[in-house]
Amino acid sequence: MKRIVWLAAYPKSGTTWFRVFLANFLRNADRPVSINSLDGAMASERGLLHQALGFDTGELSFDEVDRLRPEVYRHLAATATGPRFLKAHDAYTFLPDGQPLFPPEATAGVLYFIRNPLDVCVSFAHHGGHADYERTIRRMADRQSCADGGIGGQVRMIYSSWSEHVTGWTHAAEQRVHVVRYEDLKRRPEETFTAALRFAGLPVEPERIARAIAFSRFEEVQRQEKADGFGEKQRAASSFFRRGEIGSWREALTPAQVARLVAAQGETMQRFGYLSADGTPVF
Amino acid sequence: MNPGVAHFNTAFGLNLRSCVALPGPAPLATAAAPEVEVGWGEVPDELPAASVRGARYQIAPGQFLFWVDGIARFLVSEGQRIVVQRAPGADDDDVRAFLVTSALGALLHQRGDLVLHASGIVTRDGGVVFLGASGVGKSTLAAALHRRGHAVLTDELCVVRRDAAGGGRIHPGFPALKLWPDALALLDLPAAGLRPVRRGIEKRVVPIAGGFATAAVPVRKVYLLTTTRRGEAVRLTQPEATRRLNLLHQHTYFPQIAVGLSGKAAHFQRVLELAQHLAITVVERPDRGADLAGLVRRVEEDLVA
Repeated sequence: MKRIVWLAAYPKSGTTWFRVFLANFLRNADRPVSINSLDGAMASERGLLHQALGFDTGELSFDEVDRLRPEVYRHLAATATGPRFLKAHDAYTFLPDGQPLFPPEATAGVLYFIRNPLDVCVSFAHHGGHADYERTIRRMADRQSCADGGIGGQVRMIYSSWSEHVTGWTHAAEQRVHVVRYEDLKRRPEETFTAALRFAGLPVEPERIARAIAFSRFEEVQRQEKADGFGEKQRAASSFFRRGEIGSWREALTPAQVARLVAAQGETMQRFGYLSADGTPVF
Repeated sequence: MNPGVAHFNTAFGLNLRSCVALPGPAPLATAAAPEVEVGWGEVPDELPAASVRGARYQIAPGQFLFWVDGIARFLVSEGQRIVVQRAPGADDDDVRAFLVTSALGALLHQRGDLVLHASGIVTRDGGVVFLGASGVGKSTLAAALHRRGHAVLTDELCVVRRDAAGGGRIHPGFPALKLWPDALALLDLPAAGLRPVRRGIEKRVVPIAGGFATAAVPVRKVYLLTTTRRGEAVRLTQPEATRRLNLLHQHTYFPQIAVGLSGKAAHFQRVLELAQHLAITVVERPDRGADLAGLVRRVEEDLVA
């Protein structure tokens, strides 16, 4: 029953890159997989819920939908024939009755992706088609922040603040959690991708891993997006695979903006190696 | 089964007798024996002979069981009977929301109908169907075309039934459209005066008083509404004939349930009959900056082309 591997993260922290890598690793082909044919659904997709439930969630309240989600995940785990990867941007949320939104009994493990919030801020703003970093800094500090389900393809997701998101998932005592830092994926890919695969119970085959890393590198996904588009890009953004760098925040955020973000997120940043002891950003 | 207070209605070419009021006026004559009965009663926790089990539904020969937490349990049998076991605290709106969608959808599948997830309107050539995922704008488009003088056939469940002559006819559903506040705003309809589908939900029920189809019409055109993140304008394309079968299947009302209830062969046979005779036109609209008037214009141009 413990079949689901959650790919959990605050938005823009590297989950899509990992999914590209994973698709290439699992399919083990001799050429890169198309970025528009990635496996794995998002935990908050209405279609995923409808198929499991047999009815539409469109006329249910946010709370009613939330109460059904763990049931759907338990069902997916019970009917899975192997590990099932599901992406989740939700914070680690609890229902009114105290049970987690993401049921531990259905979960094989959590791969929690984390990225320097200074870079996340810039990336998140561009994903929304703007460069109003103040707005994004505020949003990342807002414990009430959510993505409104509305009528679209996703149900309501509670993001909470960046720090709460990180803390919630990494401190979930009832879950097996392995943290993957974006910066480590970039700087030490073999080691970091391998550790993630091992945690997920997948075979650690060095040649296969190396090939998947090559097929999912930034230049390749950027090339594919330019050629064929990427269905997961938001309309307002100019591109999804935009910069993919470490530290591009240095060219975008003012010192005052940095100070504001660090004031809100500093403790968590320190814990995950994004802030040195004297409070300066590491990356 | 306790029929309770009996409400009579006609929808999808069937006479219904229901313990819960259904959208639309009662037919003038109630002498005709109801073909479908909806009543209160006890619904079992499970179907022992179930061949398919979802998280909240089960399928057995001639039976469809599903339950919505805090609202009701439903048992749909033999295309003739729906038993509803209401949960404490659930009101008629709550029950109705799932009765006229999932329960009736399953019942129609059991009767051998092809049930599409679509809205429909009438043109001078016949019935036009708008397939699409939840939230894409099927009801909004139907409402806009209704305003342009087209009769409405249905909002969400579109029944295509083979008639004696062998073609497919769309049998009108319920004379109401369910619309979200932003769609109402696009249509200049005030949300305030309209009844919510259920308490706590912003979606409203818009009764169709005049301009609702009263008879079945042959199906003439099928559109598939989609949204795109690319571009600014509405784009119409026609997928190759080989893709029609799969597209129609995907936009059946709950395809896996249709297959589970009818069997794969029977279901695909029904879909094939429609796919063989009708092209599907995919209508791609930009997912932001809703230009309803522009969309309506493009569709109307295509209808007369």
